[in-house]
Amino acid sequence: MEAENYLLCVDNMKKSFGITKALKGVQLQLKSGEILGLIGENGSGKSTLTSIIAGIQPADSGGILFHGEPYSIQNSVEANEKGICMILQEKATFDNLSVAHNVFIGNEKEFCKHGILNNKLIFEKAREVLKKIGVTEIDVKDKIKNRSFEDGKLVELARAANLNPQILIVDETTTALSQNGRDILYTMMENMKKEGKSVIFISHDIDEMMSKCDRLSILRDGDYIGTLEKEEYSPEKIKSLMVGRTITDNYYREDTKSSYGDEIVLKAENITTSNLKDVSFELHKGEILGFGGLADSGMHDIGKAAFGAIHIKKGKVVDGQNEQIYSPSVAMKKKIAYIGKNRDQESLFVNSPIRDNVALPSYKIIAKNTFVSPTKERKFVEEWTTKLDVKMQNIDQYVSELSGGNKQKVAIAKWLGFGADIFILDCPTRGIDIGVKASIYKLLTDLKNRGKSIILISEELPEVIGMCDRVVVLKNGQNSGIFVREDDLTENKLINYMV
Amino acid sequence: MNKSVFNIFKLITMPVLLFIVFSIISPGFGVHSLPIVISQSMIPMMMALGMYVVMDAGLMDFSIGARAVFAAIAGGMLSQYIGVAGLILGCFLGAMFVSTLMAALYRWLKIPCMVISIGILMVFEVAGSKLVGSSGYLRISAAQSSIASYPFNVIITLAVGVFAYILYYRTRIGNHITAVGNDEKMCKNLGIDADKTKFYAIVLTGVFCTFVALLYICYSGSITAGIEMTSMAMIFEPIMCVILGRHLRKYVECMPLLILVGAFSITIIFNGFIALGFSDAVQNIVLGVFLIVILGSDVITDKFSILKLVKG
Ligand SMILES: Nc1ncnc2c1ncn2[C@@H]1O[C@H](COP(=O)(O)OP(=O)(O)OP(=O)(O)O)[C@@H](O)[C@H]1O
Ligand SMILES: [Mg+2]
Repeated sequence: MEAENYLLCVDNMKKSFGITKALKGVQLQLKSGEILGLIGENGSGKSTLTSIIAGIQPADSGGILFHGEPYSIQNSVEANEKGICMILQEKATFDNLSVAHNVFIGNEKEFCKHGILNNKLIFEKAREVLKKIGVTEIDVKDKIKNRSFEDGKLVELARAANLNPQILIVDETTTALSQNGRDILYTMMENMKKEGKSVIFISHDIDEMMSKCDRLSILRDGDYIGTLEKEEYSPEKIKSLMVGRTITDNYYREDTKSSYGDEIVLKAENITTSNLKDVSFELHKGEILGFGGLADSGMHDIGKAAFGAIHIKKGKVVDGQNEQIYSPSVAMKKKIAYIGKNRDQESLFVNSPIRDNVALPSYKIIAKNTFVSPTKERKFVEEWTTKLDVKMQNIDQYVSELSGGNKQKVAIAKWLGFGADIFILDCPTRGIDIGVKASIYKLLTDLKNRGKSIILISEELPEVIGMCDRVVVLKNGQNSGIFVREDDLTENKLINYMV
Repeated sequence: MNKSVFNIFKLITMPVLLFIVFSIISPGFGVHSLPIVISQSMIPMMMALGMYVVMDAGLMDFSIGARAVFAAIAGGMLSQYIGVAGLILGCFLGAMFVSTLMAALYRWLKIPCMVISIGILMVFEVAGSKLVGSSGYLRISAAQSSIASYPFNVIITLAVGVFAYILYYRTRIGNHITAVGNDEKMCKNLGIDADKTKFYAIVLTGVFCTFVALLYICYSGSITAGIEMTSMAMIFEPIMCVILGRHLRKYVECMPLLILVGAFSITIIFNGFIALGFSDAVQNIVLGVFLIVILGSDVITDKFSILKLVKG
């Protein structure tokens, strides 16, 4: 096919950030009416490439043809006007505005007369747009800050749907969504395809990519590696193209029997929060306890409650000595670590260097008589960032400059360095590539074997099944079943208890 | 009862209760003090309405008092030539001139707004005092001052409150100001010009400054040009109103109303203590405690379940 026949054609695109060469002459071809997958390890340049297409940042060099014509834009608004729209990997909603205002932010023209907004119409339209993509249970008048992270992402989807783009770019969004949210996204993508429009889809889930994408383009370290047609798909091939070497397949724990000590290290007694009703559980020494459920199951509250980070209306969380955990600082004193799902807001100081982020909870370990030795601090931070293979220039780089997956690695490094006894992980592998995912799972297994306890909250059922000794399924904020690790524990079995 | 109506009702009980308490404990304070209390709360309320705009955009401003005083001086001077029309026009032109200048400086120089505002404050305090000359103050006639004294000051303030409500919640610029205060980078990605939005936010405070100036000069019939940052003291009450309002907004999303409730409560406390004959120092202590108690009320009610029972 000639270049003119493609809807979008990127040629020899380059982009550097200081000494980091994020894109080293990348190409990409997108046809009309297709879903093109873009896959590559963390930091391989996917977000950089797509954000350039979406007008969010300029390229250093290289050309883009759109409809066969040179495409040059100054900013994302122009891109939107030309019909290109992107769902960002990071959160892109405004906390203090309502859901409806977030849907139309920047595009209020239609509701605006002499600068005055017709709020009634905005609410009505927002309801309509949300309904069109299949979301009905979000109150459009609610402020975003009162909604979950997932709801925020759905609002972004609605925002994009409202613009009715020719090309929709979806950057690493699925892991922020529950099953239900994913279905909404997939339907939206399929519908676009049916209408002859195109989607660029970014995800680290190879199965998902193989089932949703018509073709798959692969990036590695800022280089374009190639594009696979659907017939050529195989997990091994994709992985080896991504990583440049073959990697083994056994991701998860190898044993199939649950195993943990008798000692209880953390106990929730009938806790009720705004999203949970009367939930109890016990975490044992050396146990990986999983939590799964749908979006409204309240499972993300489990982690926050166990860390003392949200208000518990009834009941309490206690440690092994029966002492109550009522605040994050108490939790940390008891060597409990927490990684939240809303990474940028809950787990990281994005406007600080990696060094500070990793060292922060661990100054007690690093410092000697209140003085922190810079060398010791550097060694400490480097040790943990190396263990997690964080892709960065050096430890003084700002976290905001890292790729999504690498931010997540910093969040994990921080708590591993802290050397907690109990880890509460909410979607820990969100946005992390398969290579690092495998090493995180291995780390979790090691932690378990060393007698540490882990609470693993996840939207990914295979992950929960693959790693946990016991799995608690939540439904509407209540415990709906507990499953013990065994050979024949399947996703379907769990799903039955979720819906 | 509708939940938000009930919440509004709950909010209004705060100043009402304070009023009743002070009426009982202080013989010099009662229904007859009401006009004074209401009058006195109008100026901080008006200032708070303006300060909220800048604070919502994530900026900090110390100059609103100085800008208002300068505008009042401009109004007072113009009133000598063309009467009431001059008073209003002078306040408006003075306020808009300083506010636009401040907004422009902020946009061009890209120095933190707080720093610019202190510069503006110092320069325009001096400029104002030069304008009024050696006497240090400027008088307007009783007829002129009557246009914005009780009860007109209340009517004006309520009208501006409605304007503020529309601005905060019903305009594109209001929404963009909130968005910019939330996350500037995200705004850029969505095609909102953050610099321009902040520029307008500061210019818009000029509107509120105009009315602060008018109320201020009409309240006592004269305006004193203070130097050495005296105007700084004017902003603490309004800041408290904004902070209180922000804290209470979980009950009802209507900042002007919340600011009004805050302004009333604070003024009642002030006047109640004056009537009781307490010194400034004691007043300030009590006010500080009041603020902390309100802001900490969530934690406090959690800790004392008796209060929980009262809350229902
Ligand atoms: N603003 C920036 N400043 C400095 N470096 C940056 C910036 N943005 C991206 N980078 C670097 O460019 C490289 C590519 O990043 P990019 O975000 O495109 O990766 P990605 O493929 O999206 O990864 P992930 O799967 O983790 O999201 C990374 O090494 C990252 O650190
Ligand atoms: Mg990315």
